[in-house]
Amino acid sequence: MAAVVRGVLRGIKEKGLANFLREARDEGYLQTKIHNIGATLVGVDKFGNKYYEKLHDTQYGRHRWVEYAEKGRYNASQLLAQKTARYLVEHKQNYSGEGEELIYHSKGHALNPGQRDWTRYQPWEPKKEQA
Amino acid sequence: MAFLARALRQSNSRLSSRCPAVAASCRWISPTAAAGSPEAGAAVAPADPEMPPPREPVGGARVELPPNPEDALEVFVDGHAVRIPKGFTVLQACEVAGVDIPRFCYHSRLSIAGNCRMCLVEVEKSPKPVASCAMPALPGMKIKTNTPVAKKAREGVMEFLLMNHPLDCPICDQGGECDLQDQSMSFGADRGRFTEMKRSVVDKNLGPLVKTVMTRCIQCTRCVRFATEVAGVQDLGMLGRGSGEEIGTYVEKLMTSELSGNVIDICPVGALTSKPFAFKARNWELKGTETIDVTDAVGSNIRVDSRGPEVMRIIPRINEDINEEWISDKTRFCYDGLKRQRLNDPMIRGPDGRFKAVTWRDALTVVAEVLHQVKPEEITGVAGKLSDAESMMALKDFVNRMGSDKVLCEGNGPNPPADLRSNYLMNTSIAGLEKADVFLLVGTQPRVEAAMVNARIRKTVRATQAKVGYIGPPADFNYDYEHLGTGPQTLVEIAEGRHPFCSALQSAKNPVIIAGAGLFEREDQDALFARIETIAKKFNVIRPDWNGLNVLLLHAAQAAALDLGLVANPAESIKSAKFLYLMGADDISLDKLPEDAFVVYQGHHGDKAVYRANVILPSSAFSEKEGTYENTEGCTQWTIPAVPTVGDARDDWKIIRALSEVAGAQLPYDSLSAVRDRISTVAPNLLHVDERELPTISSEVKPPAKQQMSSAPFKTVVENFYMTDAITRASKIMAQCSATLLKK
Repeated sequence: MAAVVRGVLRGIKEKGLANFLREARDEGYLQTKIHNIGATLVGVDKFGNKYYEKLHDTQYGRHRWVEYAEKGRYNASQLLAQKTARYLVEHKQNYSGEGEELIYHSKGHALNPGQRDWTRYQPWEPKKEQA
Repeated sequence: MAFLARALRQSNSRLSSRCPAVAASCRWISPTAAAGSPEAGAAVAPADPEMPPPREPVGGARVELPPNPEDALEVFVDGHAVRIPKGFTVLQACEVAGVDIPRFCYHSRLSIAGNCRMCLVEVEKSPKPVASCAMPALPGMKIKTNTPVAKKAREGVMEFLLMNHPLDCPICDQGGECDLQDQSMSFGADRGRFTEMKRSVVDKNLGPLVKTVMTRCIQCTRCVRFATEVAGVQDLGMLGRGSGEEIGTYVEKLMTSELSGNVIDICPVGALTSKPFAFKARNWELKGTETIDVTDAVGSNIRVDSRGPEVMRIIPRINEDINEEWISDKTRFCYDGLKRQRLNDPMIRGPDGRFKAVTWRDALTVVAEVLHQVKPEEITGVAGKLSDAESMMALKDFVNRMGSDKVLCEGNGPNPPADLRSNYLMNTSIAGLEKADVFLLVGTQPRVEAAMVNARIRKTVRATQAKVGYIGPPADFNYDYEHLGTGPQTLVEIAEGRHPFCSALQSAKNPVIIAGAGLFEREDQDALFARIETIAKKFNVIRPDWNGLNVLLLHAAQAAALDLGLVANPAESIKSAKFLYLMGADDISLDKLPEDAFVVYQGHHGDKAVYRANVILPSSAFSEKEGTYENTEGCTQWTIPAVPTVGDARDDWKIIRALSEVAGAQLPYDSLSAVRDRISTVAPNLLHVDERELPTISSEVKPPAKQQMSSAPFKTVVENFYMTDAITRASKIMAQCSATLLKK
């Protein structure tokens, strides 16, 4: 505990309070890391995802969890699936949801290429004239 | 439990049966009170406690009884006595008594057909129920509208009407405002017994405006009667008998009337609906705004129905003095022009000749800079035909402050007759035309220039066989007329008493002369009007009790412009202009404009004049602003904003007010009421809304004209009825109409 407090103090001193808090949140120290206390680290895969397990005093279904290596846009396809181990294929993340053009946007969304035009009048176009 | 209920009911009936006994003693007193004063008949409290109290007339109508008591009679409607003038029908008597009789074929402005049978009522001593719309009320008639006989009769009629009516209310455009729907709810049976096949009728093509679904038709013949009586075209009629009966045009033919849209309103079912409005909206989604029309000088009262930022349709509003309850097709269907070709951003023409959208600040700065570079006398302001009085006031004040007096309104000609109001107004008033017995139309074709005025003339001609004489180019009228000549020569003949039409004018009691505003554009207009006044004097057209000398204006802005004094000569002003401010003026000739003149176009549509403009300032259309307009009879009316303005557009007077500040000659008003205060110092009649201000000075004081009259014949002023201004020229529906209906 003392080591933790010392680490925190050193972190604040080095980065400043605001930066330290922001980093702590991004790294998951305010949620995941605290959750990890008392759990068993089962293993780390080649992407850096950490697999945890806690068998006592936990509800079934919440006894295993992953801490993603990618803290921002994490995605279940970044985890090593069991079949990759079995068929020895190279694991690839599923990118089908990536890219703005592939993500669903509602018809009123500004990023929807077919966004509905709610203008109820047709403006005069200066280009058409000009002889 | 059941026993208890029965006991209660019995005791109730015993209670109520005792009540009449008490009431009977009251009844003993009341007839004697009524006998004392005959007027008290209607006011007497109902003797029978089960009878409802007397009601107010339907729609709050007032009935004027004739001064001679012998011309009035008394009938009893549901036991209440009402006094009505002689000649009223049973249905009208019921309306006075406050009982609204269901009806389909009866329409107060059309002749009586009596073929729908929906208005059946029971009349005492009559063996059968009586069709109330066609039955004259007789003295002492006892009419019963609420008896089982009347109710059963209505139910039966309704059942027969619904027999061949399709059950397509969910896809019918009339749904929600359908007489048949409403009346079957209130008077129809609660179940149908009909198991046969329904008949179907082939739809007719009546042109680009009226959509027909003839299977829905209940043969009320309102549209047939409207077409023949009001519109004056013999296009529609009834074909066949019995169940084969249908409304049609005999041979495939379009309905070629300028009032054809009104059949949509008078059709009680969804057989005739609006084609441009078809499947666009439901009537309960619409917000109605009661405003006026500006596409001609009549100022028809309309309701603009809008949904969100969009005008969905335009329908008439009743104004007995102006448009009764009809409007012209141009008024009704021009609304899609409000959504096309709109100017929505201030624009500046760059050195390459292309327009670029800029901010208001930049646009006004550029205009103000140019304003300071030109000489004051080179500044000219032109108001367009759709301008409201507020913006014309602002334009005039602004141009005057810049040191110029060249402000004019298009269509008023080289020398506008603005000195006397009686010189440019319809002095008889539109409703007053009904009293006339001879019309002399000089250089005007009311049918295309002001369709509602024409409808009034037709109504008069039809009712009283008034004679109509017409001087002008060959034209199409929808009533009998005498073509007297084509030019001023005929005027001279009439003024000198050499023309055969003089005898008609001589014998007329209330002669009316209507001169068209197209004459303003002629160089010899002073001489022409002097000659017309000679005729008026000769045939006693102007008397203390009757003023029959009229001018029929063409545009909504004209009368107010003349009131406010926008009277510069267009030819001279345009020729000398280096800075031209066009406020929605598209129809003024710019051929004489110097090449280096700087043109500012302020308006709502990219129409003709935009192509010459250097700066475009977007403004709001009549459906988007509050403005004052004066119609051709001098009646001041307001438009009310129905929808928001488009894009970055602003109200006309606000743009001029902002420009005046940037140009360093700030106008002293910041609000609409302040502008109106300013107007009140120039033309106070423009503040008396919905009132006709009569001209106070007679035309006697006019100096004699010294002009020479030319012999050139009068020209047709309105070439295309459907496209006369920026809004109607932008409208697709109007383009369709002129393509299909004006085909010669």
